[in-house]
Amino acid sequence: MERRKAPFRWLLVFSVLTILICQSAFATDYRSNRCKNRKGGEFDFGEGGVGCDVSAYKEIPDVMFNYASFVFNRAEETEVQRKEYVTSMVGLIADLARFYIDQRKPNASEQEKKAWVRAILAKGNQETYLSHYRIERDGNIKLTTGDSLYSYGIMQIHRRWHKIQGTDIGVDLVENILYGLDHFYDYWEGSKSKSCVRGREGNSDYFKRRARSAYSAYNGGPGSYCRWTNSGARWAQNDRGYHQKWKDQLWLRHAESHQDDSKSPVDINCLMNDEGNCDKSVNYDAYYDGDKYLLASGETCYRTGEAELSCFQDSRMRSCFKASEGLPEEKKGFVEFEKSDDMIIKTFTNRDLICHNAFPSLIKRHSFIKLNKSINVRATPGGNLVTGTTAGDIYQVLDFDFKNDGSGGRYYLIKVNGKYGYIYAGDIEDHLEWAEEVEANEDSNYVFPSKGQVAEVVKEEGTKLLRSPHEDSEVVTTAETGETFKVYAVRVIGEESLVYLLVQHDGRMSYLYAGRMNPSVTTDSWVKISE
Amino acid sequence: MKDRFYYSLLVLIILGFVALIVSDSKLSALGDRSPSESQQHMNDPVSQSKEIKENSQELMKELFDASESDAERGDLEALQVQLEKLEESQKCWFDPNCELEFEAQSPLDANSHFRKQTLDALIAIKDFLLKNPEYTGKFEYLFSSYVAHQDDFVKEQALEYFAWVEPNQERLEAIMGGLSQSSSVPLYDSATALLKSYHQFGFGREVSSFISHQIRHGGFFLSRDLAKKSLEFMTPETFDIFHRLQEELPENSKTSRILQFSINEYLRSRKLSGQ
Repeated sequence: MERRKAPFRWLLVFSVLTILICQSAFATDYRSNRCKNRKGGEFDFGEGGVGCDVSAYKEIPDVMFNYASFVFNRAEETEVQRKEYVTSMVGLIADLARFYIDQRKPNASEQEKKAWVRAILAKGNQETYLSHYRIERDGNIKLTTGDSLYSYGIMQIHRRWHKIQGTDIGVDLVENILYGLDHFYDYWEGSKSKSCVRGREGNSDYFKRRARSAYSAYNGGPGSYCRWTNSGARWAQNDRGYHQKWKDQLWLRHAESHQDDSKSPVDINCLMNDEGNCDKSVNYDAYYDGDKYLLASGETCYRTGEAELSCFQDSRMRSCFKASEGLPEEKKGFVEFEKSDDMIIKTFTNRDLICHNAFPSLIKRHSFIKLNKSINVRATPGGNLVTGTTAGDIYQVLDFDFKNDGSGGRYYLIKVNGKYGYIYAGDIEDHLEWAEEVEANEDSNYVFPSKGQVAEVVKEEGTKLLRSPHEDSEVVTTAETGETFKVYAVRVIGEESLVYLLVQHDGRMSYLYAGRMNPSVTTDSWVKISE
Repeated sequence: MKDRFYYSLLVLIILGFVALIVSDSKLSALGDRSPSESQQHMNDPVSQSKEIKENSQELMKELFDASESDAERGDLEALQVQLEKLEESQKCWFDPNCELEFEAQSPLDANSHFRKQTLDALIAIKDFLLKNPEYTGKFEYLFSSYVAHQDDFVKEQALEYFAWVEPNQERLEAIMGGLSQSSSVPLYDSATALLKSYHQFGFGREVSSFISHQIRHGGFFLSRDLAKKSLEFMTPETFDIFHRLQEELPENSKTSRILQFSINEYLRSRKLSGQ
């Protein structure tokens, strides 16, 4: 009897080990996809796919303010709510698809534009039942995922098929739809010449064949334009599913409007111009996320008094503000200020000043840092790897940013071997282990001259010296190429971050333009540090 | 008692497995897609595969016949292996019915396998051509078609070849075609760097017109990225193209604002540097 049990026990041990290994593999997979508190979905509008906490990818106030009408609330799962949700979502997708084809193919016929919009709606229906953000019953906002958590959002943007590492493309609802449009458009155009898309515009079902062909290729790659004609194909069920969605237009059963009569609560021009808070249905003063307020105007604020908010437009200042202590706590969610007119809203724009006050250990822009360890350089803070550095290297700080966790964890923008990127440089506690401020020396990697250094004009035609830091200012003289000036101060001005160096010429102070830093850095073409 | 314990444990394990399988299949049920969901063009991969096969067989025969040394023949044999790999990848990558010669646990496995095989082959072929430039004309068509490949990783590798060879009209068209069909933000840097060199090499107006067209009518992500980089393409000979574009763009649009920054810097440069 004992002898018979032995293999059985071994089988058990083997099974336990196998299951542990499997679970560990799955867990690693999920971790790598940043999925927190996953919740299963349903095959119904607004609820498709596996939900992962959106806070791991995007600020919740951003979602609530920009996309309040596009968040399905599972805690209030009623048909009325579904109707509102689908109406808004159909309106948004239809408006974006229309905007898109108007831009890419302005001469397309009205018939084609309508078919394009319908094809996109059918695709959103097929992929996720038009689901992107939803509030779970536990109150957390989720992002729809699929394909074993690799695909994000309404158009199921796959993180591994596409070369989008280091970006968060797919998390933001509008970006997700636009990315899907970019890809589907290629196939929409490609389908024109395929044998299975007979006929031409005006023929019955011509655009249906275009849509089916484009979907097959989108789903199965460029070898699959005609997959939809083969009922025995391995992925034929996807083509049948898409066809069904195209035919039935199920969204119309829920939506109060159809795609030709959009009732999107979002102003599409506002959205495409990144103006912020474009959802017309949001009639609140602010959204409070338990820490800060996001105003309808797009500013972010901290309550610094009973009736006082300190606000800023540049989101990079977020970590440099702190709420005053001892103020009554507000409930998370949308806020209407009781005495809106009495609320004092102070707006701050000087990021350098605010952030240096909050974190005195922050190294100033234009100064130099020595790295105390090798640090990776990334295209954005914490983003795509650009290159590496070596401990002991000295770089000029061009800009800074912070982690949003209040730790004071900072990133510096530097230039390494001709490439710009961000390095992480520690938090309030351990920043000296990462980098420290030093005086520049001949081995320093500089971008433009700093205070105390000597600037050399590199423009072949020379550069005009100005009375004040503005291009329309009175011209003092023209500095020749190769001419050098001691820098007394550096001023960085405006949205383009124009760099002006205060220099002395013939005993008079004047300004030397040294390039801009936004949206790209041009200082190399204006000045260099004199050797 | 002990038996009951073991049986209970066995039941739990079976339930655990069932749960794992169900959860995975449920995850995959949504947005279920075939191995090649990654998109874009390069026309029909099966015809492409045939083209590679036919061209390479013919060419290789010709080259073997003309080869004069063992070393040369050795190089050609190595090249032939890579061409076969390329042809095989292209044939099977996008055909879900293709019989795979390796064990693919998932569609992702198959994709990774073919992507890697294609990238390795392209690198090897590029190296061969750099070593034996006399064959460039015969095999360049591979890079011209792969630069329009549906996989952005492959597209980027094909682009790299063009960084090593001198600019000409056909190559420029291949690069522009490849770039216009990509939504990969990381790929834009290498592609625009190449265009920059063409811009400086006598193709200024052609490149600028392409960029202007893509900013106006290109894909969403490409349009914004090129607007940011437009300053690099503004010269006295091409500025009118961008100035006209700015007038055509919807006022106060995001793209228009980004382009305006480039125009500002260009004009500032003219004004302050006395050009």
